[in-house]
Amino acid sequence: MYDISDIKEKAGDQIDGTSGTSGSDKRTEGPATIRMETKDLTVKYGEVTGVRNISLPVYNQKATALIGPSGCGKSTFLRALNRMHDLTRNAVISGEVLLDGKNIYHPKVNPVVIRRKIGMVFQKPTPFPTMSIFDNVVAGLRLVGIRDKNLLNEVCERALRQAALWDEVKDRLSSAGGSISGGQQQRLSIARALAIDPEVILMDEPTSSLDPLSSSKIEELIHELKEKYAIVIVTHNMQQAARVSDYTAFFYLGELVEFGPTDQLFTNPVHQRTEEYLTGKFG
Amino acid sequence: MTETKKNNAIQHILDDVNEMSELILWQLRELDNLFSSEDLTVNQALMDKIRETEKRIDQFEVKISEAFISVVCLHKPVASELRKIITCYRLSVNLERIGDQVFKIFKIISEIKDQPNLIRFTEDISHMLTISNNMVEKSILSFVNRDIDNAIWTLKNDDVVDDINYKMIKKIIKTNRGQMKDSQTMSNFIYLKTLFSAIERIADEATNIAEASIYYLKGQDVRHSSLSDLESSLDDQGPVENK
Repeated sequence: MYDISDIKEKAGDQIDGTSGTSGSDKRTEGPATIRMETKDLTVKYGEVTGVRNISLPVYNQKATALIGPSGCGKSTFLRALNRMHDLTRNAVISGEVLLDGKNIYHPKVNPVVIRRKIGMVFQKPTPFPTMSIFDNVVAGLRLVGIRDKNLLNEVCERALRQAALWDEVKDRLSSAGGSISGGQQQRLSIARALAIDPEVILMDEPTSSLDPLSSSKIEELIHELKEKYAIVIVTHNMQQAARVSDYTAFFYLGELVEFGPTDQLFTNPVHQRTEEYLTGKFG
Repeated sequence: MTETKKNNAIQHILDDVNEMSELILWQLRELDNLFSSEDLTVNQALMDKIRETEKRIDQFEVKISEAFISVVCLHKPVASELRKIITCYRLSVNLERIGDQVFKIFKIISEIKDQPNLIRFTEDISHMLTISNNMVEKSILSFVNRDIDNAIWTLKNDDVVDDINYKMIKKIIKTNRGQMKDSQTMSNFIYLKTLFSAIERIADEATNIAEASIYYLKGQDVRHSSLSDLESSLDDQGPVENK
């Protein structure tokens, strides 16, 4: 029997050069603890400001939805949470993004480690199309040098089960990742993110390219996953935000207008802008 | 386009609630007129009109309920729009119940209009009815005009009507002490008690409407709250936002 902490140990899983508390330990702390937090986070692309002075908590074992009209900065904010802007040439980040109290933008922090702790699921399913389903799931583990077959088998099954895909693909793990349906491919992408045992899962419009049935499966999955992980989801579908999230943040013109419990924000928003956006007056 | 459809659908519900409210207020005015008249006679034409209005009120309740379900399913309203149509739905249910009570009162008066007990207590009934009718009117106005003061006034008067009801029952018992020996006197007592209870019930429904209106205006569910808790919590929230 292998423990996932073995994987982290083998991969030298550290932030700020010190051993972090394992995700499994943190998850027993209770439902309303802060897992991530941004403080005055600003992202600029050259002269253009994507998001400005965003301070927002991401609670453990809760789903946080980011909503707002196109161009409001919600995806920019999401990508800043796992340092994806590092690859954007003219992107400048200021402020802090804390994971378990430690700034992920600290110079000593390895962004690859961060992206393993903070997984991302994109709008379109992103399986490696010619790679087998099995290889897709364990790709992240192999990247960090894990070769133990038993461990890979075990992690693959667990991740596929967590992604509610195991029963559908268990007899064809060697089939190509691109051979399954779009909904299954998205769940495969989620399984790949889960395989490296992240602490936070970021989802950028994960169901926008899926049919209603596949979308509904992903939503059910989010409900199950948030029992273990902190989830941040960007969605244009407000009903989806209302269904799956515990907290909702409304962004407008790069600023955070309102953040609060989802049921409260959707029934009795505090700010007029939120009210107008939710009721379709703009956006 | 979708927004226009949603707005139109919500507006239709509001229009229906307004029309339903008008019917109830008309019924209550007729009741008020009756107690201001000399002999408490409910003529057949009036009774027919009340019965017909009652049917229309019932139909509005069903219509509003169906429209509410349709808006929720098709347009998935949120924020103030959601609160607005939930309040409309709650109003329709409470207004329909007021209609039932008004109809009941008219029938009772038709039955016992010549009984000395009714004549003896006409002034008290009229007083209680005036307060209840005002409560209904102000609770509806609180929703229509987004005026929370009218809702609070209504809530404050619920206890007043309850108190009058309690005192009136005691007064009737005291007045008829030693006389409840025959079935006719007993029957009249029950009719009279039912009449007071119906008026008290109208005040209760007005209170429900006022609570629904506060939910619409403040997003706060104040059902089963004490009046003092309610006032302090509403103060905390500041003035009503014009949403």
